[in-house]
Amino acid sequence: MSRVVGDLSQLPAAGYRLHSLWGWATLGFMAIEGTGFALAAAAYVYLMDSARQWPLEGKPPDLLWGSVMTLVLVASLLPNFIVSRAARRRDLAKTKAWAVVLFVFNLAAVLVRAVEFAHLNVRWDADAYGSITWALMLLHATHPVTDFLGTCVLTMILFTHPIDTERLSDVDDDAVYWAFVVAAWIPIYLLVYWAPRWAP
Amino acid sequence: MTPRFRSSPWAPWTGLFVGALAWFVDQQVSSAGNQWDCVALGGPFAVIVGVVCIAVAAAGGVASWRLRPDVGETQNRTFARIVGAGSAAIFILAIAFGTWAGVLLPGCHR
Repeated sequence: MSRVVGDLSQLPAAGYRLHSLWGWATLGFMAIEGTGFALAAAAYVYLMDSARQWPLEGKPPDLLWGSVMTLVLVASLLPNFIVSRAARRRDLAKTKAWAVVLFVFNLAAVLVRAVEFAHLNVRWDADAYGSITWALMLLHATHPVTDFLGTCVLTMILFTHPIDTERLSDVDDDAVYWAFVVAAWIPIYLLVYWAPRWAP
Repeated sequence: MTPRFRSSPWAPWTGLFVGALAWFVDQQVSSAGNQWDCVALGGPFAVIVGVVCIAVAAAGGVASWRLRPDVGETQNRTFARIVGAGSAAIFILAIAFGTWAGVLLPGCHR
């Protein structure tokens, strides 16, 4: 015999961040990828510490494009914050407009990253310095690319699908993940572009 | 496996690059598909994509592994071959975990 122990019909069908399954998935993603970044960074520092000079040969990466990338990513935090807040306030018009702006920043980051590889001044298979530099750059590059594609799909959905809280929660999750991508870049930028200049 | 492939300096790395690409494609296609239409492109779709990507990653790993040591093979090439095959195995595991979510969870469950 069954009996009713509670009425959950008044509970919201969807929620934001840790009130949604995708929010937990994003958190797990960031934990796994953050660990990957930490391991790669530790390998970089280990190799740098073991070397008599750093880079082993040649010159450090050109500062210009790495710094442009840093500026683009830091500047993108503003539209990222606005779109996240608009999504959480269920302001659809504002969410749509700023999702497009964020999409442009995502695209710019992917393009600048492509240029960066041409200015690393070392081949990926030249030596240990080249391999770990490319590994760190590629590891991070997958994130702007992944988030660019995610933002692209979500932005299209905003303009083509009926929008409910679930969709807006997806947009907010995407914004949280982009903030992680930016935060992860800062130590990698310092390692790849500045550590070779600071190393004795 | 053609002689041209066997002699390529990239060949030992096949498992690493193909495995990473398969994982990337699996994650992107299954998550974007679910967000686009969670009914039509939900759990079973993610499972099909996952199985295909596991097969692709496995093929990459096997390609690395089957480059058996030739006479005079350099230590670097041996190392790359082992890394290629081993990393493909790790990528298969990563794809399998994501695919398993497609089995456990309804596509529209958020």
